[in-house]
Amino acid sequence: MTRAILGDEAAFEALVRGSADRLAAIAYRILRDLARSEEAVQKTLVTAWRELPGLRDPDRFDAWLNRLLVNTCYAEARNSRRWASEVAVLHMLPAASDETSQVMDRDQLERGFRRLSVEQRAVLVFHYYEGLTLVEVSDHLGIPLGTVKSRLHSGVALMRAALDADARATRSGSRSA
Amino acid sequence: MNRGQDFDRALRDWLADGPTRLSPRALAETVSEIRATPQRARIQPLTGRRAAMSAWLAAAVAVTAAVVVLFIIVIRAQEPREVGPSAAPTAQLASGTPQLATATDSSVPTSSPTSSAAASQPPSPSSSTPTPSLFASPSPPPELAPLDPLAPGTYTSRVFDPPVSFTTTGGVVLRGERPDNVWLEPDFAPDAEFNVIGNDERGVVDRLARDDRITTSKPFELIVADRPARGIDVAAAPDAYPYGDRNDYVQEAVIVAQRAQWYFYLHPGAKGRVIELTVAGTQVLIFYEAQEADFERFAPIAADLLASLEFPT
Repeated sequence: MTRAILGDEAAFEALVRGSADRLAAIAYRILRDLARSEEAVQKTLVTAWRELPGLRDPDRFDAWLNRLLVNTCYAEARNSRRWASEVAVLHMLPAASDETSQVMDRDQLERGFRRLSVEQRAVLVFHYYEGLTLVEVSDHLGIPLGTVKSRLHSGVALMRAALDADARATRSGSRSA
Repeated sequence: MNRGQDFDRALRDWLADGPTRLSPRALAETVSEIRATPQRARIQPLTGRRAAMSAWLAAAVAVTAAVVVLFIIVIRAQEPREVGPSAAPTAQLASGTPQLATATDSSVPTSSPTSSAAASQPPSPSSSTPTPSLFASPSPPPELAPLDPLAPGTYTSRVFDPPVSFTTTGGVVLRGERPDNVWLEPDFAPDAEFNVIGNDERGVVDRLARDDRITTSKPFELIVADRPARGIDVAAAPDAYPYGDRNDYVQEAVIVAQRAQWYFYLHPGAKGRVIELTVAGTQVLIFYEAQEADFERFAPIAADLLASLEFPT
């Protein structure tokens, strides 16, 4: 780390190779788009390299990198707000079997998650996917604990509401079929 | 297991599903870009004699500054006082100044924000009244959201091409600023939006008038920013086509403006207005919309923004 801070490219490349997969997984889960998440990771790592001399506490490298990544994801999401997504419109299917039901659950979760703001998504990803405590999420994202709690609460509530609405629509669709 | 635990488990399982590696191509590109990117200069702490000189210099600067301030106070005290109404109040920009879509450096977390005069700043308030302060405040915090409303005032976007000015009396949030789009929204309805768009299609109003998926007024003539313009009021039924999430492309939607990387469409259940005009040879589209329930409240705000538009050369 110290060598990387002093400008050793090879040392930083080793850090990159150790962090890239983790960052890619997080970015994909926030943005739900492979191309954009890879773009976000690239921008994050290049920014990290450029700004590394300003990192005062090398022990906080991971938290600092997470914060850079999340900010890059925010910008990515806003820049491409109206970009045509490759995700097709998902159509409701009546639950016919357990397997179909599981697929639909995933589709419902995907739709519900896409309704969240990118800020809410980031909190959910760090808490549910990375397994960070809310205090750690607050530290890694650089936002107050109260904001983390409020985003987690509102994000979960929005997803539940979306899932409930989906379930009602599916029941209604099944009746009319 | 209760419903909450079921949900938590389902969410965890769903999030665990998906790619967990950066592709070799992206990794190679990243490494290559890093090799081509210089690091910022490291700030060296001053020590010994240089530090001592620096302290002496700082003291000299402080004394000089104190003398200048004292001089200004004395001069002001000698000027005759005017009687009458006070000058227009100076609005202060909120600390959560909207982050630009084009800004990249501001995504870097810093412990001590610095003022910045980068080209990709939010629209800068003009010197006309009402007069918000210049953007001399520290640069936006690394956290980009929530975006605070713009303080009342007149703002000019120099990122948009051609530059465009607008005046807000408050309650408007700047959500994005790009060379081809200034995106504003009221703070009470996140689905409502007011857009100034750099467009390359001519005849949008006539195209929309012929679209039988939506309800439209007859095209009408109006003046916008002292220029002749054509407009049309548009509305889409709530079930006109699927309601897409912001980044979902809804194929059946009525597209208002489109380029290779972006598009605007009239949302189902929304009412709005589309106006086209030419500014310095460039086709400009103004598009605002809100869900029907919000439209009555949003329409006067949009009308005020529209009436305030100027394209300074």
